[in-house]
Amino acid sequence: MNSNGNLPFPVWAGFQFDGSASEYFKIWVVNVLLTIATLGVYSAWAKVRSESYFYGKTSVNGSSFRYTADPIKILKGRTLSVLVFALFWILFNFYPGLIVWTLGAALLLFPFVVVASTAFRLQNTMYRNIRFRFDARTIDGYKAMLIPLALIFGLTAFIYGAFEASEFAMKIEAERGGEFRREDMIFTILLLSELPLIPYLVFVLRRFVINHMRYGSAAEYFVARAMDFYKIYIKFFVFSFGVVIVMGMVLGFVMGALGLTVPNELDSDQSAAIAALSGPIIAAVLVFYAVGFYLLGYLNSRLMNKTYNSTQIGPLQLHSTLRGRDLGNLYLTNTIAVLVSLGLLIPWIKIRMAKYKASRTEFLAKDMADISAIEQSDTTAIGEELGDIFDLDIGL
Amino acid sequence: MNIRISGRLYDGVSATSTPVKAVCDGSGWLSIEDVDFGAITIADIQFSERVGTIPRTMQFPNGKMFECDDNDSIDRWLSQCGHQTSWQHRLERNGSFAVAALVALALVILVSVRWGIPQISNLIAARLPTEVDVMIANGTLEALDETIFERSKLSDLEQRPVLERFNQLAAYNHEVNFNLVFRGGGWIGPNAFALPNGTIIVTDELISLSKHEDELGSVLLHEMGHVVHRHSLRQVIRHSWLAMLSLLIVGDVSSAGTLVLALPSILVQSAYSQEFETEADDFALARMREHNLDPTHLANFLDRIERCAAFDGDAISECDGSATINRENATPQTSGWLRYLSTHPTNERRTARFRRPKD
Repeated sequence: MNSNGNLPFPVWAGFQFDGSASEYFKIWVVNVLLTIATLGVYSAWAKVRSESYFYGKTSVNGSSFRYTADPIKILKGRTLSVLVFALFWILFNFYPGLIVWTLGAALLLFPFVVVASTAFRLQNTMYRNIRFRFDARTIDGYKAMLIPLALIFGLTAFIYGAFEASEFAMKIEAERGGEFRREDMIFTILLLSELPLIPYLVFVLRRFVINHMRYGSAAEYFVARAMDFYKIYIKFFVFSFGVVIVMGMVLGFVMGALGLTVPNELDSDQSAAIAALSGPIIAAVLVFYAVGFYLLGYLNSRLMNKTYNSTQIGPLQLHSTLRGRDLGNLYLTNTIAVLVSLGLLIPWIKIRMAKYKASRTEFLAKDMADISAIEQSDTTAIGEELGDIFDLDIGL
Repeated sequence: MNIRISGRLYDGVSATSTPVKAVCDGSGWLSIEDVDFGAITIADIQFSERVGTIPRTMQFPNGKMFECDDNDSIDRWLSQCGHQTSWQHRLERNGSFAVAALVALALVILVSVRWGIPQISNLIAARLPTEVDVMIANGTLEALDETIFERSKLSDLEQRPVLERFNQLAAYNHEVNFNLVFRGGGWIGPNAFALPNGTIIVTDELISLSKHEDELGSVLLHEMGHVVHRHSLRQVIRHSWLAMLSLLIVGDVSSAGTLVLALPSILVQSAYSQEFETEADDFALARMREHNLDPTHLANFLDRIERCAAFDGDAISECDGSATINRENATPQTSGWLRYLSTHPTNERRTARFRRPKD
């Protein structure tokens, strides 16, 4: 599949995904129906069956992966995370005065969630009858993530404090309209103050997770630097910024060429003006969305490639060659497919995404027999499920 | 009868595999051909679940594992020894069940969105004390004052008749602590708001737009209807259920990169909001009949507000009943399919109910 170059590994093994959309569709329909019929209780079993399918259909070097999670543990974790989620929902909605502390508490849970969910997932992943492991304790997670989380919290609390008291806040909100709760702005501020720190957080998270992964007696090592992730994000933002400017200019040019202007005075001609404008504006919005998929494809492909290509599993090396335009194509067509099919094509888009990702991921192996199994301890599903419901995507 | 299954044997210590044949006999014993393995009884073997056509595994107590693609042979051996195939797999491989499940799914979604969620939410809301409504409203007026509203320019003398009318209309209800406040509308213009704790906000622009005291009274009644029927609370609860339902249906699909899952939710939320507006209109209509007020006042007033909404805020003084504006043009946002995105029912539908003779 790939020329070996001068790498010290004699064997390239490509990942393969050979799931079929029609087969998975039947599994998916049963999962969704039983989940709703049992008011969510079956979702734990649904998750195990769905994950088992995707793991079982993913193979490398002729052997497939196994997902061995116990649905009861997932159910327990899911119950707990629903309770925690409800608690935060109440705090955010009914105690606006405490919002900074609520946010702080949520951030404080983050390392716990990462450690527990990663440990659960890895311990339930088997390949050739050997389990993956995660050898970090919760305290290691806090040590690793303390600095970026403290920076994010400090910056958000500081800016929000200044913002809350400023006149600027009121102006912005009045312009945005309909946003009556000033407290909701804390999420925007969180996002903005995270911006310069996201590459660092992503880097720290991946380094922590990968450095603590074990397959048999083989340790995994992550060799990327924070700078690599900053480069990817900076390129992404420069591209996005460029796209916004170019599209603004194109829209202005098109409107000018068509002799359209934004009406200053709204009079009885207003509706005609709006009708004339709505065409180009809707077109611009649609094009903007489409371009957004490709920008996102660029970002995600580079992040994944950088992560995989910096990961060594004992004597083995991961290798990923995702392309931004391929992911962009997939995002765009997947979205259209789900819209047009009213959701019926969800199984199909999941299958084709897994197929593409597997086709672009490889594994350099010298001698699989070197890797021997290590003894295994058990872990609970709590963290895994918190990760699910808060949608903390800790994708490796 | 013996069943022979080809597969791979993993020792659990190294990652190497050996191609082997498992020999399974009818009395529930398994041995491996040409391997010094002994015999293992079926009760000690952990079988992996059959999901689609993924490889099937048998985990042995000695740490070794047998893996094969021959799901059917394993199931045959299991059933020989009196074990059943998992009921999930029997559903999952059944094409006609998939079709039936799809139909059932569509029905369940329809029924829960149309009846289930509203009914459950009403039940929950009815059980929550009114303190919860007050809690939701906490700090809202202050935030609105800082962001949108200006100080009212009306004098006490101008406010007094409105306040008296309001107290009169609110007097019948002792459960809610109604309270009227006057504000300059700012960029919002002529409008009225109800907060769930019973505070009703009316803008100067709305008052100056009204030509009859009952017009204003009808709008105040409509806003009281929102409070009495606890629409804010019910809306919060309904939206939570809706979020939960879409989570259950869609699950984790973000990995496949779609961003459209909010759309159905938005459509349903608008429909719920329209329902609440209609309920508030019903409340106003009933109270107006009780007080012997002419319901056409609300219809006239809504029409006038709508026409003025087409103008700039500054142009309100020109905006009176005599202004001749083509109604179709004045309301581009309520026509066609966009109606489904609107939070209020169309004005024609609303006013028609108030113009209808008393039945």
